[in-house]
Amino acid sequence: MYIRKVTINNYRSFRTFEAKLQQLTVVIGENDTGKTNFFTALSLPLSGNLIDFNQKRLSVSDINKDSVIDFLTSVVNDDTEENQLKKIPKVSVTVEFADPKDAYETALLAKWIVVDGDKETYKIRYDFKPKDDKDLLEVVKKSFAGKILDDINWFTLPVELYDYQVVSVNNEKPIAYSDLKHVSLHSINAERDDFSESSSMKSNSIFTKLLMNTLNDDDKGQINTAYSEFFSAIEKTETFDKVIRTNDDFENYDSIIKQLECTPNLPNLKNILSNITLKYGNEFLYQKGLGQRNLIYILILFAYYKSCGDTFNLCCIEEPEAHLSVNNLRLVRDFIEKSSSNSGSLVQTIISTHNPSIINKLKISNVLAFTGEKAISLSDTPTKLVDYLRKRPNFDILKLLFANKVILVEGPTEEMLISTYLSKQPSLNDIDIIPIGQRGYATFLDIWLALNKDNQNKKIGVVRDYDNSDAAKAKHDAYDTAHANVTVRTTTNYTLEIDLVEAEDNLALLNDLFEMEGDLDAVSKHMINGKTARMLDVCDAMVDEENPLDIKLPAHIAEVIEAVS
Amino acid sequence: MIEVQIAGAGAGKTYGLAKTLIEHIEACTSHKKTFALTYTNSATAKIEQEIIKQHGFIPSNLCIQTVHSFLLNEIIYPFSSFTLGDVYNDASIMMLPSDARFKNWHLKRLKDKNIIHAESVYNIAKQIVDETTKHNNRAKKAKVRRLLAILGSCFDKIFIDEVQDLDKDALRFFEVLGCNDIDIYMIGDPKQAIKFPQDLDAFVQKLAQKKYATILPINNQTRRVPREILTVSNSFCYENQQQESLSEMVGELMYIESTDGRYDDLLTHYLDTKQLVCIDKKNGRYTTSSKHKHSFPREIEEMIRDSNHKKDKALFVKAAFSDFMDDAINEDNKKAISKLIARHSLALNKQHFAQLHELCNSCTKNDVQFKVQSIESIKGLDADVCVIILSPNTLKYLTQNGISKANRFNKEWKKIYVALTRAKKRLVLALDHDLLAKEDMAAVRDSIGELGFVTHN
Repeated sequence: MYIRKVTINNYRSFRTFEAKLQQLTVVIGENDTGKTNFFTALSLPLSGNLIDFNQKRLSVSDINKDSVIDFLTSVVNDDTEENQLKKIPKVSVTVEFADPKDAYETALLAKWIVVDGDKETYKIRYDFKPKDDKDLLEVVKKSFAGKILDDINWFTLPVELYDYQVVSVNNEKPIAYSDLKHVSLHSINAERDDFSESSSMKSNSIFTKLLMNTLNDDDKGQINTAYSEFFSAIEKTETFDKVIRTNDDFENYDSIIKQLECTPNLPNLKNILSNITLKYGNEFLYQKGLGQRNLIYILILFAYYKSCGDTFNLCCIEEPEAHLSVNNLRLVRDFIEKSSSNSGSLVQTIISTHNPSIINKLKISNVLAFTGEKAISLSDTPTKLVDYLRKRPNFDILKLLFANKVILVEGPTEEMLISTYLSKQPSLNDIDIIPIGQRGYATFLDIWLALNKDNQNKKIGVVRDYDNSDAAKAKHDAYDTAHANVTVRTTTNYTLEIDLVEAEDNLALLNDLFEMEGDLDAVSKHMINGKTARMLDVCDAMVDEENPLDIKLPAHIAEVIEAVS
Repeated sequence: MIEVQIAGAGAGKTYGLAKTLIEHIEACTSHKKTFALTYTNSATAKIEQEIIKQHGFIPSNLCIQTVHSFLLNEIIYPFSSFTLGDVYNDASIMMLPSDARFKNWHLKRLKDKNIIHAESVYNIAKQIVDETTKHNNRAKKAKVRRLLAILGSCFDKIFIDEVQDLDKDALRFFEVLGCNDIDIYMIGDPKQAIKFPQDLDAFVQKLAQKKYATILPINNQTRRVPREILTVSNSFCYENQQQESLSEMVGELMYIESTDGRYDDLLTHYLDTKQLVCIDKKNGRYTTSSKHKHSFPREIEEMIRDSNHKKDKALFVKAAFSDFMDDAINEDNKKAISKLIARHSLALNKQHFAQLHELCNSCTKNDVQFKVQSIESIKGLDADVCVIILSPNTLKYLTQNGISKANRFNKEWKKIYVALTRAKKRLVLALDHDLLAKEDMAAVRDSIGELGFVTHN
């Protein structure tokens, strides 16, 4: 089973928001697109690592600000009561489970069954809303009487009249904790540097839980025995007698003191275990570097999930790459990949990342991209591209998806030429060049369009070689025609070098550079045969400090740059 | 698979059920839940106590609850929207008018608010799982089958005590579950089927021919009822259900008349010493109803819930109801109602007033002398002494005087069996001359004398 869909209303940055999840989901997005808010929103309808229900009670700053302002505006403007009631800001987070794998999972979800067309799903919803809409409206009206919008602060919404509940969507009935505890969320948030700090000791609490789940009765018995032995050892030192001495001044003092004794204060096993702290090598874990601590945090957490066989666990990790060195990053990446696929279907994993190699290795088809308004699942990415990226983990997929102005080129020759040209024009240095290393741009354009189709602030250009294929040209040109923010240009000749030599006075300049006296054909052949080395020569000459070579760009490249800039 | 065990009064059903439950739970390895269902909350408590006595604690995968609570929480609330398309998320026990048309109007109003009335629980539960009822096309039937598969993943076995209190809808509900891979064990006594006298008999007859059902040999032993009392009660048993006593007690059959100076004192004494004193239905000096059987009509309840207070809403309504009932008992209806209105600043319409009056009338006034129990409410209970206050009707059935064959084993008949089988030692008939004013008392004495009753000593 897994959570297939999440719908969020009026929570923090989300006015209305919907996201589709998979067994493993990789959340990506620029800063401030709501990744962290998404993780905290998910914790609302589920039970959590902190069995602290106070966390579910929101404050006014958790309610989407626009929705609050809308409501207050409608009150101040004396809108009809019907509209005012409709606009009362209410937070809700709905999660939809799907695909129970066996009888046990069916039993966990059964009571939340909902029919959606001919599909069966299981839905629960967190609500944070007024206990009584009319009461709230009345209070707000009273306190805002005679005021204008400018006088009003949005955070004066009387949130104390609100209450939260988690309901089953099929009957709107609150879900008992005994049922809800079977679906839980554990998260490692981005601000986790205190994980193994001696003061907070989160590492220990997770480790304690892990021990409680995995120790068998015999082990527990032994620990208990050892614990009482520890106390008898203390007793034997007779510290107590040394501390509280006899006192001759009072008659009954000694007889009272004699009755006193040291004894264990009968803690439960969990209390005993929580006194354990983690050591790594010869040091306490909290003395180790952040990277090491992070690594161990993630490893322990997954071990813990595996130990809770009877509950569904949604495991959320923000930026697992934080603080990790190259080697540890690879370890964590592989660990997450293996753990999420071996953990059985009661574990679902969501990670957020800014690291291309994590995205590429954990499959682009698992990616959920946040654009600020919506979340786009890339689950339909063709297998070919998924495999390509897994083989090229360092391909900068984030640049492709999120850069404002980006030009795709085939290989390093184009990249060098264009980069060199751009470096000479300070106004153009916000354009990113990505060498694809292969000829088919279509899948890359598809995936870019999935995110950026309707966003005219984002522009993409494609510089391609003709290669004597009209069919391929036509196929790529279609993208250019269909989308205003896509520009596709192809060489007129077979390949880039010929177009370059042909442009304006380039033939003469290049003949000079290469100390040749060839025609178009000869010079371009010379360049083609010399591959990137010749292009490097050209680029070096272009940026020569004393006498820069004034090479002009071929028309197709110039047009692409013009279009994206 | 369905197993049906018939066992007479005092056969040790609760003890045996607890034992079977513990054995089952200990052998059970799956995650699925086992349910033990009874008709009343007090019977639920009895099973819980028995399990704790025998096992030490209640296992976590054993749910002991009333049939109603089971049907509401495990079937109707979660699944009525799935197969019926109707949403229910609350239940009401408000008083319903007896007129069918008014009643349906009220039920409909409740349904519009997603509330189910306790009276409809059996029927709706049956509709949810029985594809032969409302589900008239293939898609709907498929949903019912899917639901049954889901329930099969959730329930291991369901044990039902006092199964004679279920009506034919509830019996059908469990039959459907039983033939869909959920084990059902039913134990009960058709001789005590007061509410639905014929339903269990008909059900057992039907099941006897089904492959998925086993009717276990009838248990006709009783640990409670002494031999002397059985001589009377056995004449109310089916031929194959005559009981044998394992009790070592010597039973006593007695009667006392209201003309006897000791009558009031004796009755009071038995009541004070927590013996069972029962009557067919409230009459004259005797009353039976308990004040919390009902609740406010839904609309009034909502007004009170949402009236201006800062307290817990559910508790507030309960307290208001309790206050109202106290007023109704101690003062007259009008005063009680006007107090209620003033307290919660209610704006009531004509119909609300009528409902409240009816509610007031249902409760006991303080001027009655004896608060006794109805025969229905002592089912499942026992005591050393059981006193039966005879009404003309009870007398007629007890002496089987002029009862036609068609009326044998009806509601009244079965009530007599229940009343006769409560006492572990002494069974007392109370003859109140006011209640039996039309009877020829000499003939009454003769006929109960024939049954073996002697004057109370």
